[in-house]
Amino acid sequence: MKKKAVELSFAWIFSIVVGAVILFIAIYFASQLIETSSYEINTKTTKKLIGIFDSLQTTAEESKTEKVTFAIDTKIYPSCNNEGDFGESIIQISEKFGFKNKWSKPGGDISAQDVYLFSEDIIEVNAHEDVYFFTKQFEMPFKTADMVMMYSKPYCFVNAPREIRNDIENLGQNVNLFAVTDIDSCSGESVSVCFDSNNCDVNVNTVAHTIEKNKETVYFIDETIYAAIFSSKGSYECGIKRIMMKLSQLSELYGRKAQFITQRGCNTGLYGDMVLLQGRAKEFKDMRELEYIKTTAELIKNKNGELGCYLF
Amino acid sequence: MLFVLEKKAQLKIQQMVFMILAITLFFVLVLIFYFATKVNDMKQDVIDLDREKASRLATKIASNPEFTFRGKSNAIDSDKLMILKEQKAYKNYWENINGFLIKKLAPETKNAECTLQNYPDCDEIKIFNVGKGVTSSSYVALCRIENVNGIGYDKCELAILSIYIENETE
Repeated sequence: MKKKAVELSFAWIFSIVVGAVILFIAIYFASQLIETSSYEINTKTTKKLIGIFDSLQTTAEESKTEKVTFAIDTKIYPSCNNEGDFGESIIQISEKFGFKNKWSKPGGDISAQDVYLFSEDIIEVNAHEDVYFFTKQFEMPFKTADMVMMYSKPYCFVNAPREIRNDIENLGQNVNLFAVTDIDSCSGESVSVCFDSNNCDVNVNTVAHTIEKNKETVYFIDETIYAAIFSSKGSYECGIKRIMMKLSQLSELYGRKAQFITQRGCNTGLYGDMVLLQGRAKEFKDMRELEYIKTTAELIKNKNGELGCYLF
Repeated sequence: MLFVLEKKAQLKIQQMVFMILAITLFFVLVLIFYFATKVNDMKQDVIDLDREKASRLATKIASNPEFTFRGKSNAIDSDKLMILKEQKAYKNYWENINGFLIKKLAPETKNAECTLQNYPDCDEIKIFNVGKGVTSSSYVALCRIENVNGIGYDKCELAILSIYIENETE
């Protein structure tokens, strides 16, 4: 019996090989295209998010709020560096794309020198969930920067001091912050913040001016309490260092202004104090130095208040 | 006979190669067209975002600590601006901003640019690189402290603040 063999002509073999090569190249380019598109979309989303910070800038008012809803599952990667004259806040975004619903490669990092962002190292939100922002002014003794707090989970403040409760009330309903008297009133998904007790995710010691969270402790003064509560230790310390760098530059500006207006008969006598403040802010290394710089700033504020020609 | 068959096969291969080349060329052209359109769209997006940013900033920049006059809303401190002109560290502080132009509108202007020599008897304060990029403007109060008989008072005049935003596609 004769065996039947499938006879393939050269033309067929050639077509199959070339077809396979073309198919492979097409699939490769399609996957590359999808990756590039997701990178582009992530970068565009980041750029738009950075744009929101302009609207968060405070004018005469002390604080501002904003809420952003993401259409798809999103991860925000905020970071900070304190190189150069001002340092910068950096943001990258990754979204869930494609048939496999996998996290895409984060988009290009968008940085801003004039933004002081305080947040956890990764913020993850599901589709149609919100990311919340609120701003607090940092004054030492003049307005130095707007601290922007960014978070997605609800924060539950247990037995907060009156000032904090008033602040939460003034921020309004749209910020996902709650002040309660009992930790049992906090929802399970919320981050609990206790004052002068140690039963919560974040524990604030108002006497020692320290905040303990994730087994790490940070030092705060006045309004920096919010920055410390809402951010990771790294983000907080880098952000405060950047604000001190800005304070140093602003003190130089005010010091030179003091000299400048003296020529027009406005002698403030504050040039020396501004040089001192500039130097201390520039040399800032440890969070404990905040109190020391604050004392210098308060002295300048008092002197300025007594002047005929105000410097600030 | 074998020679004729071989010739026919060669001709078929040639036809196929030409066809493959034509298809490849077609797809390359389609890809080039696609990327050209995409890059154009991206450029337009960047311009739109810059314009948005410029208009947002024009209304907000006056509240920056470097500009604000004693924390007053929409009032800028001309003394600080004169110092800011010279403070090099600030040149790249505001992302994508080339420069600022503050022009006094009232009282009647002489179109003299402010320098340390003629200030405050001048009308225009130019900070950094003015004249390039997308612009956006807003009206502000240009204020400074004046000393009369040892007592300082706030002197404010109407001015227009223009922001020159770097066009990233340039």
